[in-house]
Amino acid sequence: MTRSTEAMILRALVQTVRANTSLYSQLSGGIHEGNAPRGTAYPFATIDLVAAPVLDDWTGRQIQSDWDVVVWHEQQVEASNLDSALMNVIEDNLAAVAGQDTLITRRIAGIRLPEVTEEGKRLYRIGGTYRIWTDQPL
Amino acid sequence: MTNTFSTARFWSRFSAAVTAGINASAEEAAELARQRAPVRKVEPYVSTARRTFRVSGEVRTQRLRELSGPTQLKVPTPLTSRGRYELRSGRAAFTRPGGRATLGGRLRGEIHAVPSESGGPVWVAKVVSPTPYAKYVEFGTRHARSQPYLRPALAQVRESFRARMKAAARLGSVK
Repeated sequence: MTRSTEAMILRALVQTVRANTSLYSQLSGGIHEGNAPRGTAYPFATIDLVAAPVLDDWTGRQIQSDWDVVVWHEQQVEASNLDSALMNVIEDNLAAVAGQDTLITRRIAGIRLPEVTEEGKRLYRIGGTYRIWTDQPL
Repeated sequence: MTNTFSTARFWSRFSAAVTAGINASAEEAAELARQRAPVRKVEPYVSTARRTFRVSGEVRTQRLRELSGPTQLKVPTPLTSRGRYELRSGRAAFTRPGGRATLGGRLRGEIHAVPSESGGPVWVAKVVSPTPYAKYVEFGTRHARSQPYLRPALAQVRESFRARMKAAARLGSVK
């Protein structure tokens, strides 16, 4: 039996966002893992793995992963709207994870981290932490 | 034969067991967070010294902390010029609660657990990272990606916390 890792969950997350064309078209800078390259246009989204503990029992393996999905935008209201749209797209609606069954996809916390750039512009980082539990046979 | 059940006795046992379990989990999470906290440079230092340097033609003298080890620091990742300055000037100096002084390691050294007060009915133990830049490490900035260390530690103790709470409930139910 081929076993898969949390990389497949990341792939499913990105696929879920990209499959929603109206939302993805609003993210003109695209979606990135970690940080976006320098000069990427706002708004864009980033996905970060927080933790992915693996729990084995006699029959299967659960990956209980937490992900930060954050929108970066120069306008607060737009960032909040995009974050809300992302939540509605992701929660309980994750694309199929290769080799794993999705048990839950829930937002468990919000993230609001405004910054000021070197030019004095405000930059809003608004998003949330999503808990995704998957199961696969051993 | 009589079988008596004392609510007060149950509650005191249960409360003490829950408090102990929560505090043990918080300590465990703090230790895991300390292990996970990114540290790029940790070197012991012993004394202060003076160094003369030149700024736009003018000679200045500055008090600097002197490294106890070799002047060539061994760091796992290359430091930026700012990092080198902070190391050289002693700005990165940090004295641990135990009294051991190091250059670097502040984020890791300041993580601690605040135990829950016993009694209930609400128990709150905290794992605190009071360093001012802690959130930038945990959540990242536009310049540097996140390096989470607190939340993974909490995720890691989730199972042992459940086991401790189960044990506490069993202990409380003993007559």
